Amino acid sequence: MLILDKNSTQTNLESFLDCITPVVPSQFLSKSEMRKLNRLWHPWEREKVDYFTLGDLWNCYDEWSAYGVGVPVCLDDDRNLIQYFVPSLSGIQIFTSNGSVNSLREETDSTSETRDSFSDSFSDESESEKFSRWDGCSSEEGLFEQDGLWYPNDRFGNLYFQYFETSSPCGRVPLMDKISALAERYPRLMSLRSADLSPASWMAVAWYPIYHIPMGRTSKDFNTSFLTYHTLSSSFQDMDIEDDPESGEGKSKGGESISLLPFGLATYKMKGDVWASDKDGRDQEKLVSLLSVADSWLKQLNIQHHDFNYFMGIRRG
Amino acid sequence: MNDLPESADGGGAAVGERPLSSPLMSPANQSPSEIGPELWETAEKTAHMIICKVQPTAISEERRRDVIEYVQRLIKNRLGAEVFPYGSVPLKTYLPDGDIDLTAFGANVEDRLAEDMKFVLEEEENNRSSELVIKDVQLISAEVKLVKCLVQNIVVDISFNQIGGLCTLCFLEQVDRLIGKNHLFKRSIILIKAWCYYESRILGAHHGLISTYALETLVLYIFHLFHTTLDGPLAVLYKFLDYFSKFDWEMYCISLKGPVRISSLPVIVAETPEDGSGDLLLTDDYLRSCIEMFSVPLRYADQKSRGFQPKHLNIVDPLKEINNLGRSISKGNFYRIRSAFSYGAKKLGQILVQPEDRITNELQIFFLSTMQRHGRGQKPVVQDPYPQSTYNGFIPASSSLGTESYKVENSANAADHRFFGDADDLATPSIACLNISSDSPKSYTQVLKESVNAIGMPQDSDHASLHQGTRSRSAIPESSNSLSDLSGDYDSHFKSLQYGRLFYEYTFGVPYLPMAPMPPPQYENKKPWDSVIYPSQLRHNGFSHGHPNGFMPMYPMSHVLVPGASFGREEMPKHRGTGTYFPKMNRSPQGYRPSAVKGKNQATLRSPCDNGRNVIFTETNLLERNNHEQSQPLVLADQSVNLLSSGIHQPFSPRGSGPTPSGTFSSERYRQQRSAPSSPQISCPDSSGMQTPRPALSRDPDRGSFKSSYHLKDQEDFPPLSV
Repeated sequence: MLILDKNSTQTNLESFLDCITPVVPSQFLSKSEMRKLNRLWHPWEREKVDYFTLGDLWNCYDEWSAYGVGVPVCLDDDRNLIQYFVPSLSGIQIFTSNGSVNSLREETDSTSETRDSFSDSFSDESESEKFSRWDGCSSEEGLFEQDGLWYPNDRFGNLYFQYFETSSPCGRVPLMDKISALAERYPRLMSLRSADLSPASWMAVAWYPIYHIPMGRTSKDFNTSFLTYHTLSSSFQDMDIEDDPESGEGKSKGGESISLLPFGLATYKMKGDVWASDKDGRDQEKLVSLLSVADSWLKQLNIQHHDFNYFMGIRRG
Repeated sequence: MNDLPESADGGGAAVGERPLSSPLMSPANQSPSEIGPELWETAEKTAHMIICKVQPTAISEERRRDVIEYVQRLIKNRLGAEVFPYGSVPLKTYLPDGDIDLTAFGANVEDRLAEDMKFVLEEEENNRSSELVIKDVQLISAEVKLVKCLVQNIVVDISFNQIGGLCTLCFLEQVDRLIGKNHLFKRSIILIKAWCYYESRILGAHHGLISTYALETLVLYIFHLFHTTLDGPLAVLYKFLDYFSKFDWEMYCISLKGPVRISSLPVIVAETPEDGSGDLLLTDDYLRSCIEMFSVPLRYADQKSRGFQPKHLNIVDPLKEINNLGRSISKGNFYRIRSAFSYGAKKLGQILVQPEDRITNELQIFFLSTMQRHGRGQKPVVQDPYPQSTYNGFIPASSSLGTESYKVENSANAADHRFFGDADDLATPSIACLNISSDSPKSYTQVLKESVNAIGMPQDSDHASLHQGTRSRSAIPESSNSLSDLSGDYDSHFKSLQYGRLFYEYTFGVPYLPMAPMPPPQYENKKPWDSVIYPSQLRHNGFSHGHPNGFMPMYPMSHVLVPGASFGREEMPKHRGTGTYFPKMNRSPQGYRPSAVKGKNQATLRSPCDNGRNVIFTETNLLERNNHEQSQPLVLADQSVNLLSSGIHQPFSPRGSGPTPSGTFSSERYRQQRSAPSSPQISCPDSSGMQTPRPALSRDPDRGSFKSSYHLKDQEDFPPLSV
């Protein structure tokens, strides 16, 4: 995905998208495993299917969660700086094949006993987050109570897990910490393979600014937060991103790794033109396009994504 | 959690099953001594090289001195207010990208002074013939007013009446001298700040992260517990990460007296630190005397304070027990800071078990961002307004870390680009490297290793100035790269502090009070002071193989802590007159009204004249005060006057016995000030012994300070960010 001379022509927005894109080590499915793939999710004949495990994906966020990730930014006066962001898990839905339902059940049951202690370890979190987590984590029942019509099982698969963050940015744990905590109760959050996930599986990562080096400019331009949407499934992996660069949907192959480029994007406190700096309006177009993809995605899944609504200025309640 | 080896140390939720009895959540890693000495030597050599890339240099000091003197002159001339540096610049622990912290003592009404200052600076910004280039003047109207601007592209933060920052500066300067070992304390601070700022991005109170003073207190805590085993900055960093990544922040706060159980707050009940050798660096007496020396005047708000307010990462200010230095840290940032400590501890632990020949490379990767930004042969001239020329100037020296050495297949073009960033300050930061590290870490690491091998260790000449001891400045002009001596100008710091106290007292009518809310009974005899003053006592805190006096030839240990101590107890003027200056003040502080203060102050004006240089700031004064006036702390207003009029600086001047500035204020000047309530006219504490009427600090303004003691009015006040 990285093009050699990209940095010289990259806009700040592209730089951001590049830097926050996880590049996950991948493996190829064996022929026999390929035959077992869900045809609904993998309708195309392919020579090879490469996949990653979710654990490897989270590892990409390990250092970012601790240190933040740096995004080189070029200012209009030709000064450069690096703006740092910390990722947090904003939302995630994982749909798996029907075949795994039983094992999923057992897993959920066996971990239910530890729920209380788990809850205690977050006892200082807001009630709203707790509520949301339990609402989200209690497997598919909660979901289908909302609207049983949304998810025809044959297409989306079974909802193994979902989570939506609702706490304020300054109260959030970094992504890796959140995943680690969730994975204590949902161990398959680490072991699931992207090839086994339905195309409806996705996550959103919220990126909040830390600071920039060098400092000096205390411009409000650097208060911008981002929300990036990523698919977790292998289904889109052969979609050539260059065919549809504006949406950026899907993943690009990187030899032994898979880049999970964001297919959708929302921004918050976008002021000034730091993140839409190019003169021909390419960034602006891209922002609009990525936002509309995110919006469509959420509508398609009929999701109320708290952060998205917040970023859009939609306040509920 | 056990089945998540990769993430278990991420820390976020891994707090469930720790033993409640210990502040440490898990046993410590290998202690530095368990790692082979040869390996440590190699590792410390690399750390030394890294420190040399970011520590103060002659050039960076000069730039900062120019800026400070310029602002001092400007504000003095235009507004009649004195401005002093504090924080990392005078302490000489600033990073190349660090800001300059100044504090102005001016009119009572901070708001108006702040606005006036903004106005003056903006005028100067538009003045094409101004001496230095000012840009981006802003008034930050937080709870604590702050004027922020760029001078010569260096961020300058001007706060108001921040005596706390000056106290902290003096305190840390003294601690550095106590620890010795060629400024091991300051060198450790520089290394750890670099890691926190460039690598883990957890430094900066303005951003809800760790304040510099909080970080320095954490470093001091590590010295406090483990000083006997710490001989190099990397060992300190290692212990720092190891200890604080395992510390049970949710149950305990950090205090130099030992971990304090949060549940016991607001009462501060320290537990015995279980992890150290038991040989603590700072004795209770030392700490108490520091509090006496370097405490902050209480505002009324403080006096009514609710005590230590726990937040998420809790650190007791060594100089002010109710002050939580971690109060700037938000909950989310607390989680990340903890993760950063854990991640860093894990990484560094892995590096230190590598074969010796790989350690140098691995450590440079551990400090990758630092090295990318500042790691080239030449010390970058930070904040250069003309990056291009700087860049060109430095390029020839870049051969040691050639462009190709960082080159990675994915970003060949970017590699060229990157080196603009290393050599100059605000110019291009290493754009490609970030992509590299995220896209192809393995290959990048490989390449870096090769390049690092090519670089080798810095030449000895590179460090010459550091090893020459403390008087190396004369050698500076030979190389633009000269490293600065890290000795701060304690005289100057202390003078600033005294000025601040006097001004504060004058303006706010709140006399200088020692902080200890309830003086311990020990105050009633002089024993504690004996133990602080005398070298033998300090030596007992010394180091197995240190050279306590070797690194500070001009500062005999006996002078380290208490100014005036060289008088010796016997020679100490018996300042029996103390009581006579003090009006009988029986009212409580709360009942104290400004008018009363004024009256009192005027009544005491005589004291400097009467006593002149005979009155010195000694433990005698304090003891007497504690003996006789314990219930009437306000009389200490007069104490400040004595302080300022005394010759306290002479005995321990870094310049030896020469004609050093002998006092902060002449009594005449002081009298004038007192009779001129419009305080903007207050003159600076230039010493009576000096010829020039320049502000005291301009005598040697490049001498250090240290960043912030943020003794803010409440927990909403975030101190100025200093890096």
